[in-house]
Amino acid sequence: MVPALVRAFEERKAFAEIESIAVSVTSGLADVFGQSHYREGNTLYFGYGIADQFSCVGKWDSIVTFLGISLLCVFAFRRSLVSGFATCSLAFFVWIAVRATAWVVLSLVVSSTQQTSETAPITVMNWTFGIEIGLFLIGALLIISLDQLFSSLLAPIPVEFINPDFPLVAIFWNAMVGLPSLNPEVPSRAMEIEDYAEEFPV
Amino acid sequence: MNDRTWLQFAYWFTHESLKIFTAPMSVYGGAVDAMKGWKYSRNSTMFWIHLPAFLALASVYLAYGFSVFERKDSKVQRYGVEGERTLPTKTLENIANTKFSFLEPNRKPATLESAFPTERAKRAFQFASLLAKQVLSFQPNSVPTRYRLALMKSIEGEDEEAREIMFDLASGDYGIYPPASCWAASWIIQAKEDNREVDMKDLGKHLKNATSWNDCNVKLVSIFSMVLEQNGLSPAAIDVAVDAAKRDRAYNLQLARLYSRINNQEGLRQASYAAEEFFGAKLNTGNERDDDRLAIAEVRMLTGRLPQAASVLEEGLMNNAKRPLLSLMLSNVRIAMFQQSIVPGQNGTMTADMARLESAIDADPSNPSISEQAARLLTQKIKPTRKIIDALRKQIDSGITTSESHSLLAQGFYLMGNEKEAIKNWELAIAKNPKDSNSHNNLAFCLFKSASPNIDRALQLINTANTIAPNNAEILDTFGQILMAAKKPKEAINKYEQSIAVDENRIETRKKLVDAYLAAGLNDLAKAQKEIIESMEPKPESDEDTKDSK
Repeated sequence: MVPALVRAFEERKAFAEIESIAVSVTSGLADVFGQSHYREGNTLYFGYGIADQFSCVGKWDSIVTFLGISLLCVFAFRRSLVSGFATCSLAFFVWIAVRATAWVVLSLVVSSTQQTSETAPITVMNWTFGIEIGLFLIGALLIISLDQLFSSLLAPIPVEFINPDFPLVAIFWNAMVGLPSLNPEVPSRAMEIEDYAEEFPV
Repeated sequence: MNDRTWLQFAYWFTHESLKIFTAPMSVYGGAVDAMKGWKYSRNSTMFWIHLPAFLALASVYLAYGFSVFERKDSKVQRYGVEGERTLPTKTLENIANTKFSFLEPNRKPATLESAFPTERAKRAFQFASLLAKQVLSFQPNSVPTRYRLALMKSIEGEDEEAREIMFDLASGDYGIYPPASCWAASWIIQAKEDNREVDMKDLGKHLKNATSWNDCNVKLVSIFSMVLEQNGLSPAAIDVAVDAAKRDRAYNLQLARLYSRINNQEGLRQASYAAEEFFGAKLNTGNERDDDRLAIAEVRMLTGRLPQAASVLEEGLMNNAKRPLLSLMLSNVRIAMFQQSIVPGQNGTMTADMARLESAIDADPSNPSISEQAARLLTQKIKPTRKIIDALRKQIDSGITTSESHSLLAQGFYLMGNEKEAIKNWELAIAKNPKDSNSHNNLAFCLFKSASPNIDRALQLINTANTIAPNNAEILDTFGQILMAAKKPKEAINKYEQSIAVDENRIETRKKLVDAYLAAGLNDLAKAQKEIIESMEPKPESDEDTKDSK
């Protein structure tokens, strides 16, 4: 499934678009943290340190892995359509945020490293496989946690909590977020004296 | 679901929907109830547990959102400060200016390799240029940034691009930006120095804008003053030279020269005082430099204090006699003292203090001015001493004499009747300075007047002289005479008329013109010219000797 997904993304040139968004977010974060840099296309050039250049080119397998994690959540926890869609889109948000934060934090760390003498070697932090693994773990945790969060928000309202006087909103909500197997039962209550009084006024 | 159930549902749904418009608590009440249900469910616990993950993600996107809405000019400001911190513009200017050898003659033109030798420095340069580009991505017409970028391009060796940007900035389309004008003016002057073809039209404008900048190189200010002086704007030139002297007190010397040229004694006094004080203080530091002594000597010469000028140079030579610049200057000072000693003596002859010229020879025997002075003595019919003649011979043998010396020597020999030596010296003078119209004229005159005249060579020479100086009345007169000797009266008439057109008071030329008219058979014109001569001559016996002026 994963290679097919990669191919599908590549064929539709979706990577370039997402890559551009990822670079924009990184650039924005770097700006907020006072890290001056220069953006040329989808490449970011930082001053000293890590970041000789930052490019997403060729590292696209990770986004598909993130997508895999979110799909796993959807199927394992039997998420509803809305909740499942939210979780899948999380893959992109988390992937971008995690990588951008990592770049900016690493570049901050490197640029704040004291380089006292001219001859001292320049600290360069390369984008290693280890970092990629670490980011994958953090990203996976975030996706699972956020999946739980959204599913808790997008849960159907139990029948006993629906006010039979105003049930429409709750029913509509349940129809939106509930699984298709749920029976949209019309709630009813016993007739009371006031009802008779309303219908058959004395 | 059968029809009955559908109908029931439709009835129920309509009933409930209409409640939204009739009951005051409708939608809100439903939502509140739903929230209550959610609040007491298992889901709300899950929500609080997993909220931090959401907050973390949200904060990243909030930060990004903040950067999106950050003002453009504040970004420009931030990037500008960062770029300036990484590589100050002043440093870039210092490096880029090494390409202008007239500004810094002792420095080699810097390249990227020589100016940024370490890896770190190279990165700084690279990063500064990236930041400049980033600023331009926000503000494409940011003048200081484009200036920085142009400096970097110049350092990188992309001269053509640098020149285009700088001249665009200096053109005034973006307001006055003196640093760019400074660069543009320097570029034009350097191109002129290198004998490249260059449009000098805007040099004045660039220099004017450049000198309004406090950090402008003082040399440019002084050049602006010279340009103004050459264009006949002496008052403005003085203002600019005073400005230069204020920026760097060493330029008081140049100011003094300027005052001396325009004969402003008060200004000369002040400027020379300031210059002498400045260079004197430099000498007193114990760091003995030729330039300082030369400057003091020059200032004293300008103010006419020749013995004092000589003394400062002698003092410098006392410790170390091998200082050729000081020796040459001392020799010049002594020659100036010698010139002062030339006074008219009895019987119309001239006298001079030969000891002074001899002391100039002692100071620097290879000073070409010595041979000029010696030659001038011959023309003034003053007999030089043995030592002076020896020095002159030595200079002639070694070939360091100037065209002027040979010209003077030739005149001296001609006056003494030694035609052969005179011709030889004029030939030498012409060989040393092919643009010397006076020597061409004199040699032509001499060849045509000699016992065995060489009219063809004389014609050739006078033609050259006329080409060099087309509006010289004297040369035109000689031309006419030679043409008459070559039996070409009509052409001679043309030259005489041109000569009179330049200077109408030339009675001798008019007389020659009369002869030419007669030779050409134009008697009426000759008669008319004679009448003019008569009207111009109050005393017919006064006779101008045209030869004397030659």
